[in-house]
Amino acid sequence: MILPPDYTAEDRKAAGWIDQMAGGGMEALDSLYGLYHRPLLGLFGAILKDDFAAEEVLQDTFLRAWNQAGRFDPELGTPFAWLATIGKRMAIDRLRRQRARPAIQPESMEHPEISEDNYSGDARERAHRQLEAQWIRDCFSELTESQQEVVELAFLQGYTHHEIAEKLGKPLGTVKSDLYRGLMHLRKAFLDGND
Amino acid sequence: MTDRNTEETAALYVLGLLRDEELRAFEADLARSPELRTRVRELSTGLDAGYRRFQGPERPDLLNRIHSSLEAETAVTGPAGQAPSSRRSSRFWSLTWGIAAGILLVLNLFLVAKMSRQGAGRGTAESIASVELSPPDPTGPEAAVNAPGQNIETLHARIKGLESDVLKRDSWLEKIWNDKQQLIRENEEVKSYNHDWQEEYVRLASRVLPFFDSNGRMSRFTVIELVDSESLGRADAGFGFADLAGRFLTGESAIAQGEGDFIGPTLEEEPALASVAAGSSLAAVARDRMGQSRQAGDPALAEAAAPPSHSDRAAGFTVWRDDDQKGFLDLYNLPAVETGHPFLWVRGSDLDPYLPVGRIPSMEDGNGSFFYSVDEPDFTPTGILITAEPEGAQVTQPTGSVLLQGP
Repeated sequence: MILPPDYTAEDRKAAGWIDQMAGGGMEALDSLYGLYHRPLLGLFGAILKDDFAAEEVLQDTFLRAWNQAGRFDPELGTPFAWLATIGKRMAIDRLRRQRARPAIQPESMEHPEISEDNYSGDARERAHRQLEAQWIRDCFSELTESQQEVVELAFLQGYTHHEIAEKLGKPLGTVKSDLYRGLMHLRKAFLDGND
Repeated sequence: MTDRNTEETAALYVLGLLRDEELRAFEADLARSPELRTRVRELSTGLDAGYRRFQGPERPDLLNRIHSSLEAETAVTGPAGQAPSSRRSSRFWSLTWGIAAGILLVLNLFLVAKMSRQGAGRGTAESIASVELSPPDPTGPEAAVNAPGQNIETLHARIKGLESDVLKRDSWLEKIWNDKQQLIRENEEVKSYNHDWQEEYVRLASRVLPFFDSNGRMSRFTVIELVDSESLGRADAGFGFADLAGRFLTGESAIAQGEGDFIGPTLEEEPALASVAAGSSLAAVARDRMGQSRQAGDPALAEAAAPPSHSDRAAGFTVWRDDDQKGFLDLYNLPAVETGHPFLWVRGSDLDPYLPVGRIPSMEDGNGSFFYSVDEPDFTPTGILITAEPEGAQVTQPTGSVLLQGP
């Protein structure tokens, strides 16, 4: 496997494990899991706002990574980005399906309203999720307000660029441009941080 | 050199926003352009850099679950890596081909047997003819027996016998042909039945599973099927939703959301309804509803076994999670209410009054699925009701006509 020159030592180690997974190396799966399961679980939790669902997506992500290890292409991203992309797509697909399903609306105060807050009653769980979501939002804090808005809608809430344009009443071209500039900004921040 | 538009598309790709044509076109570009691949890597690295450092609590338990899933996958899939659905499919086709091969074998054996008999008969006829044409042997006792008149009579008798055999054979061949055509028709019906239910499973799975994905953590759930007031009390009223949902939620079936991975109440043993796959409670419901005497060719099959989305009858089911105190409601063909709106009620026991849950949002063609909760601690529904309530009324008890009810 030829690795890109901008791979860090950690990326190289992780890419080696994926290579071993493709050959059936179960220990490599354990190592990869040990290295990345915490940030991935945080990401999926921030997207889904449901710990059970996030755990399931995490499991499915590593199962899929195990089955598709031979298809990992280091040229397209780091091992972490590969895992994150696999899981993010699954998480966003779930989110979209849930979003497509409305809740029964009560007619008066006598009838309880379903909200995100009363879905999972455990306060500690909610606080934990908020922490994850805040951490990820902090990652986008250096973006302009406009970029932050579109990147969060796309990244954390799974809206397509078309949906974002419609939701924000912005031209599609502006949304695409904001998304691109937002990602470029994050890239620059990453490079600056590594200098 | 990539242009701005391509770079913007690369950003959409990294964010997972490209779909269908756009995605395929971009991936084709990606395969051709090393520069574009580098740009995608750069963008994704920048995007992931921040949250990659997030370190929540260690979760070794989830790794154990991954190992268990992999072990189960290996056990089910087998060393050849064949998916369970394809194995199931193979069994079905093996059976079909087995039946076809059996018919051909019987046909061939029959023809071989007939040819042998015909050969023997022809030998006798030839010997008779030769006796007739040959000068009689005055020395042997048979010479007297094989007189020319008797020989011709015997020959005619043999010919008649052969003609009769040919007719019988033709009749038998026609019967085999008709049986084969019948089997083909029944096979088509079974395939159609399976296809309809497969679609139903996939559709239902896509609606139910996102909410109940974490069934491994569910302490208890309740499934209630709803039928219209006309069907109440009828043995064949329901569609078997309770079985269907129960199978999803207990993980009895490995449901996946793709046609290739479908595992449902497949008819696969023989193309007759009496042989619905054993162990499928839903299939048993379908079989019971249709009656043992009905075969796949029965015109009642299509109507009786059709999934709810293919039917005009109003129906539905609810699944209630005790651990989350939250319900999922799936409705089919709910009739439109001309003055007023459909309203959902539940009750915790037959002795309790119905509790108002809320107004059911409008749905296209009366089909839709919803979540709901009830303002009662530790609630578990035993009864569910959907009524047509007048517009603007402050309802505390059901007053309107019943649209759906369960159980």
